[in-house]
Amino acid sequence: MAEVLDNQVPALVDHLFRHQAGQMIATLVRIFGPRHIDLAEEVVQDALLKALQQWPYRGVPDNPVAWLIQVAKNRALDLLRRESSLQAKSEEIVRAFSLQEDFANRRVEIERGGESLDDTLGMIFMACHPAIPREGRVALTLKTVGGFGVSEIARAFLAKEATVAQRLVRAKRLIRDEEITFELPGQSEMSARLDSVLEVLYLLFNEGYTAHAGENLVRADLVEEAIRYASLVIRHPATDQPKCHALLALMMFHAARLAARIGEGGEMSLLADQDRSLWDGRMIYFAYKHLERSAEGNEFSEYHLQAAIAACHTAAASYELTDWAEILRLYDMLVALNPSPVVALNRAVAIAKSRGPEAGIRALEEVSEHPAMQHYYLLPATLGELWSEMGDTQKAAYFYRQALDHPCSDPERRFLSKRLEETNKA
Amino acid sequence: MPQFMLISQDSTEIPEGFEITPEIIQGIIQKYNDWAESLQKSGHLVSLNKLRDEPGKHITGTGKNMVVRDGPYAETKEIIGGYWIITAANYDEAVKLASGCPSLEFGSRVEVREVEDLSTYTG
Repeated sequence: MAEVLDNQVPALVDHLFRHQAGQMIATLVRIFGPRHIDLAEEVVQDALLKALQQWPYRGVPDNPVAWLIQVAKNRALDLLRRESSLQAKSEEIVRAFSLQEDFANRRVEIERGGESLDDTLGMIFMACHPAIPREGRVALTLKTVGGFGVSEIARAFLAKEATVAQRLVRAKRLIRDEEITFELPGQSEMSARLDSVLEVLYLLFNEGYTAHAGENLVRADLVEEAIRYASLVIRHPATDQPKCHALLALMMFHAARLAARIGEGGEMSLLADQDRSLWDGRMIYFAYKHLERSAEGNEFSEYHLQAAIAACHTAAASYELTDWAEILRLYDMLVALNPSPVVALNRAVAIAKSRGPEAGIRALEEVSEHPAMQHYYLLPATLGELWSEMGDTQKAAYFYRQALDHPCSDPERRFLSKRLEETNKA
Repeated sequence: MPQFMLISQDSTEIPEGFEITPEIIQGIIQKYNDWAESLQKSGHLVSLNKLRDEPGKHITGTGKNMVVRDGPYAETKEIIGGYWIITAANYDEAVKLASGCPSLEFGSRVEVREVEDLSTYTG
């Protein structure tokens, strides 16, 4: 290409490298076998670096996806020449990658179906295997399926890079030692394995939706990734199950409100104060579609209840019109299913809203004794709100100060400080 | 309109401990792409090319005395990564256009040279 780009310089698709890396790693892991994840990652990293060396000077190729697939195929074939144990795999490499190239040339979104969807799901199930510790599952999923770097994962979960790197090494070692396979689990094993996958997606989403510390209230990329993986899960016939639709509905109901949750300058805006016209109507529409699909069959999971609660909030035209009695009813069921202190805390808020702050404070008394609640800022923050509603500014200030002693994100900290200030003035 | 060649001298080494993630790679390429696109839109871009990342060959002498060696970059960590040819009224404008080159952000050196228009001698 000596002469100028005749047409406009082709644009780069957002997250192209991240998503394409995940796709190619998944296919290579299937072909090389799970014990060779490192080799698969190496091939893909090389292909991406090749793009970094060439594209700045030559422009983005007309079809960047096909370009990356072709380079990765050639790199993989090079690698097979030096790995004698894998030499028999070259035909498979050529076949799988030619197929993907074909799709890319026809500009079909590769992930949407067929072999590539199987590969990506195989990778998700492998990375989320219950034999791997939870943090390792989360990190490995983001790294391999999501194309996140170690430093990005560390930032997202406020862990040290060395810690994340160690979790990844351990997870990969477990995959080798436990001989964890790439295939989707059979029917007898599916339910338990799927629960482990959904748990990871839920954790990713939660961390994105409410960052536990740092300068941002939310991490939109984690929210986006969690929704993307959940959408892949429901696309496959073996995993197109009601609880998966419930989880996806729950994520979408919350994600639809993201834009309204962050006010000017990244400040947090409470449900009561949100501009509801900023909610994403299209996302809410799809959330309801998935909520409907979740009702098929007999399964009734925590995700169903959480999605139903999120739907209640979304259905209210204004904060005042929120159906707190229904929300409380759903929380009662949720507490029965999962008696966790965090659920109980949220239930106490619903009690306060439907029966008054005093009832809420009483409900919180039981919650506060739980050891897991000792470092959770939302408990004292909620007590501060409720005492403030009761008109007891001294007690409110006491709890706001206590909340500020716990870790939380910067916008939340500013919010709590503002509340404390207002209480002191009152 | 005079033409200028912008030559990017890149470092061949990735700084130690620097993790190149897919997102970072994409961000870097995006910067170059945006820059090239703006040059193209304003009608300044003539052509662009990448040179292979290898030392290349260095030739001196003729006939029996010709010596071919590995290129000048075999021992150094800098290499000419590629070039862009742009049109500009004069050096001032060429430098201004080149100052947007992302290579500068990554510590590379960008050389700006005017292309001699030989047709003015023969024509």
